[in-house]
Amino acid sequence: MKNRLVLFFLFCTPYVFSQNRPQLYNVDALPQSLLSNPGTAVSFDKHIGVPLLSGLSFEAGSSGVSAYDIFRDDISINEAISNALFDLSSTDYFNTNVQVELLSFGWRSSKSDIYYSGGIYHEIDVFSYFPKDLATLAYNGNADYIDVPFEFSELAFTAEALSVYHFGINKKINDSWQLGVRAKMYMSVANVSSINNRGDFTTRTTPNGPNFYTHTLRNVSLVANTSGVESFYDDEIDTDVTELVSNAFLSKNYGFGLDIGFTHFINEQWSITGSVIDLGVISHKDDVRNFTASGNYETSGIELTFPALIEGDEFTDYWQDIEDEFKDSINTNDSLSNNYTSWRPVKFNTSVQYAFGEDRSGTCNCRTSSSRKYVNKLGLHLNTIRRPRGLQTAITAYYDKDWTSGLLTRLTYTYDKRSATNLGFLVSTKINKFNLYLATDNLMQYTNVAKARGASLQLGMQLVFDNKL
Amino acid sequence: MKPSSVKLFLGCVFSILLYCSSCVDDVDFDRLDEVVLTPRLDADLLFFTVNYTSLSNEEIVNNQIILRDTTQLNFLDDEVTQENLVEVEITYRATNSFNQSITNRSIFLSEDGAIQYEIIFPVSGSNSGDPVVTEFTETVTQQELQSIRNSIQLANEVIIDAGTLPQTGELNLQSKAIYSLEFSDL
Repeated sequence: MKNRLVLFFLFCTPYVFSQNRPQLYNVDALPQSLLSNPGTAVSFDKHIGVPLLSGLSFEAGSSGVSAYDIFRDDISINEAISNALFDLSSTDYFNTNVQVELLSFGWRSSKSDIYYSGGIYHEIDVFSYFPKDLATLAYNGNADYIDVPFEFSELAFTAEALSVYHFGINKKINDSWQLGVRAKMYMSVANVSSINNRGDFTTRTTPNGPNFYTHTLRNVSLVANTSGVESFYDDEIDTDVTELVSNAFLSKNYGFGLDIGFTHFINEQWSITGSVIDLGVISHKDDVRNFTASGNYETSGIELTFPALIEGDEFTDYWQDIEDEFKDSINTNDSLSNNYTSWRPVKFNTSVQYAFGEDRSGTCNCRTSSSRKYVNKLGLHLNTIRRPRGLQTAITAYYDKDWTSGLLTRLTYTYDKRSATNLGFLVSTKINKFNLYLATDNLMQYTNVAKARGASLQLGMQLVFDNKL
Repeated sequence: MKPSSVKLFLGCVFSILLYCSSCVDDVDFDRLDEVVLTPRLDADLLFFTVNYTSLSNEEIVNNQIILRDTTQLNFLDDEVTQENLVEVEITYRATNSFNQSITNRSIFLSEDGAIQYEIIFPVSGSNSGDPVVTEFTETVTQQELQSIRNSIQLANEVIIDAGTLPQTGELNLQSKAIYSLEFSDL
């Protein structure tokens, strides 16, 4: 079993790309662990978060470029942009994620030994692939890219702001299994997405054609959907702040989702976990605007026919003909209001953990199968998030140390597409019932954060009660 | 919580806070103002074919046949052209099997038809009837660009030196332009 687990992680390693708060995964003393795995074997009996402060999370990054790469002061910024443009690929991405817990609470039923938890959080998630071809066209033009297609399929981005109401249950099935499920209701405040675009623009040399080139727009299909943001770009519609705030709590654009997860204790020291988070969809029906463009078009410029030769008329409106032909060939529409659905970026987590170093102080981890408590934990955590053009994965190795006095630390090493030198750290303490935690990553870039391709910070405070200690 | 643990915790928190307020060195975010985009767009312009049969109704005046056609070029009045165009390089390729000498004249005209800029080049005649290729490139630099910006039409004249109407031959003309743009103050 252990060998198979090791093989599984080794097999997955070549495909790692991303990360998602690995410092908080499978930390059984923190209620926030239930948000990344509702089946976490939590060690407490009740929690209530400090409103707005129980869970703050910021994460931003890019897989291919850092702030230093662009704004370094030893070369011109235009040269730096040019270098970055050359180095970046269309699989590189930029992302920002902000999550703020408004309410967080939970309690254990003394009768059924089920841990109930719920709350509300706001989330902003922005993700975009780097549209290298379009950026090259805008930055350099097509003159040096004759016969090279500029692909529109590289244009893929999503941005959403939403509130999430959630309620979950977590139950110890037997000494080996802990299962959890969480229901979510999403209230979309704003959503913008453009994915599954197709087509290309190419300037081709035509040795046997009528002119030097043929400029083609081929198989073009571009779609952008928006909801809740029309007032921001339409001058005729006033931005109603009250409505925006209202949508944050009760929006007509809503959806439902599910988190599921488990913890399986193989024996006293080995355990595995798994979870699927945000398996959900949002239906957008209100304040919806769609933009579309589709068709095929090609031109080789303006063909003069010298009509005076034939009809005695010297002036033909060639330009208008070209404009008409373009409009007939490429259908554009920016006034559609078709309802659409958006899938949440579903996340998959799995981990294997080995606990060692028995605590001789007399306490026990009473929520697990073991009557013993171990103060050290080594683990591997694989996190995958589904993005518009595929899965992005990160692998994290962690070492937890429980200092047996309410103080827990975690040291992490994460490998993903952004970095191979990402060390992170979590510190969580409990002073009486008051819990405070703080986590961050990319410690290696401490001397110059501008060189980091990503950074994250999580912190929070809450009351955590444990009846049995 | 033991005092030693409190110290450890405070030490950890301090370290992380120190990290969060850590250095951002060797970068200058003010240089965003220095970003200049300089795309070069290469696009077809005009093309046409004239053969001897299409000249059959033309008059010869002063031993010349003059063909002329005009098109609007609305993009010359566009904001990008007016504000961001810094150079235009226009290339012609004429393939001629007329044995007569030909002159091609491209005339940029304002809305009221006034001449703003001219490009004139000779097209070699063919002695054998085989096509002869002539290429010509004109670069309109920053100093002369205002003339292009003042234009909205392009007239093209084909001037054939001929005492009589040609009985054979064909002229094929292709043209393209590379527009060098510059965007700053983004």
